[in-house]
Amino acid sequence: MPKTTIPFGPQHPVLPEPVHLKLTVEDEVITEVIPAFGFVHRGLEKLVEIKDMHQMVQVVERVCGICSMIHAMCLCQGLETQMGLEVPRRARFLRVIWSELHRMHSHLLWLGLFADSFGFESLFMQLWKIREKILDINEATAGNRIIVSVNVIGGVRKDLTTEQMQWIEREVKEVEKQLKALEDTLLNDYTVRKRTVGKGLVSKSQAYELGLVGPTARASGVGQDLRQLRYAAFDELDFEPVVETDGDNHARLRVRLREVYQSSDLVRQAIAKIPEGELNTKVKGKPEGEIISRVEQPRGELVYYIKGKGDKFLDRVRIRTPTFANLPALVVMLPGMYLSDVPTIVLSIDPCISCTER
Amino acid sequence: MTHLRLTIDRKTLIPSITPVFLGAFLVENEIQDLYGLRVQGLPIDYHRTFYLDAEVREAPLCTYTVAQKKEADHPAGE
Repeated sequence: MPKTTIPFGPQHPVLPEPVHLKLTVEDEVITEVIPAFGFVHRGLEKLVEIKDMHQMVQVVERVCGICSMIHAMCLCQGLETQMGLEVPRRARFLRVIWSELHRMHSHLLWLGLFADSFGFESLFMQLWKIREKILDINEATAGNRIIVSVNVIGGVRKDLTTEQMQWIEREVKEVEKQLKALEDTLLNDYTVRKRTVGKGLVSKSQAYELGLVGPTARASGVGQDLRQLRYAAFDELDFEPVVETDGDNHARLRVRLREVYQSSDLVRQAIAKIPEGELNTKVKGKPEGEIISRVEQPRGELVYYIKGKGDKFLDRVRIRTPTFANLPALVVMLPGMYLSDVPTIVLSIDPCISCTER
Repeated sequence: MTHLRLTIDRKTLIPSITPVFLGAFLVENEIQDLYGLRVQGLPIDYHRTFYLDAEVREAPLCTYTVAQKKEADHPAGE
């Protein structure tokens, strides 16, 4: 049986960002995968030498477009813990509202791209139309549709009025209602099931040993969600991680769909419980020493290692994004599958390559 | 969370932990690229072209500092 080597990417219609996989194929069945990166490396970590810590919040927001506010929140939380600043309660609730809105629009984007990857274009258009409601909320409250700059060290910059919060609650309920109308097609359609059930299997012990994070791991039964660490205002909100046990593409689809409902519930809880108060505290002192800060991004666990040297310029910021931890799963998931299943399996781990090679 | 630290000098080869934890091959390739250190025993080795182009010769993030001598050690001082 002769072996052929086929390149997948870097340009491919199904990938949102460039990644190159060298597939060794024997008669349409894949035997080996070697990934290659470096197409969007921007060298953002070297900017710590020139930009001070307040400017680094803006730099770090631009690592990824879809989860930008969560990157900034992680950096601010790390520096606030190190310098001993107390963030006001209202700021913590506002951060929760914006980060859960980000999670909803990221998962809706992924659901649309996943439907497009097996050719279901009408479902893709419907899901992105639902997503537009959340981008309208972002623009009306923070000023921009995707990269919202609301975090500063010590709290948030912008406030939400009571009328805006009631409007957000109505819009989020409308999103949930429209998504429920599409749920039956998304999960139970014959073509969707043929392309997703039984593909890209990862067992629970494999997921644990490879160190997978996020919905990719939660679909295999490893029930870890960093919001259980109760950072920001999550210690006052009611929340359970979403876990499935099958480990294939269909399970990952179900996990992300249920997380959209969970996020809309968390937004409504936060709006009901938000207290009055200040928006941010004054920054006193300079960061010194090392700290590790972790939050839950839509794609998994985000880890920041921040080292300060007693100056307003930081020494080192190392960002470990969840796609960095999920990509080795492709080396394990793809062998044994057919060549035509590769696009859906690669998309099912939700690759955000610009986060991986900042 | 447990922290494990390894202190080596610039010229030593670091043994790879990828046989134990498969996800480490990405991090070890990144260390080779950005810091100029060398890792021994990587199953998938990009030979310093993981992020950087093949023509790049210097490591971007490696900083060398000059050691400050204390005043009492200086032979020409009083």
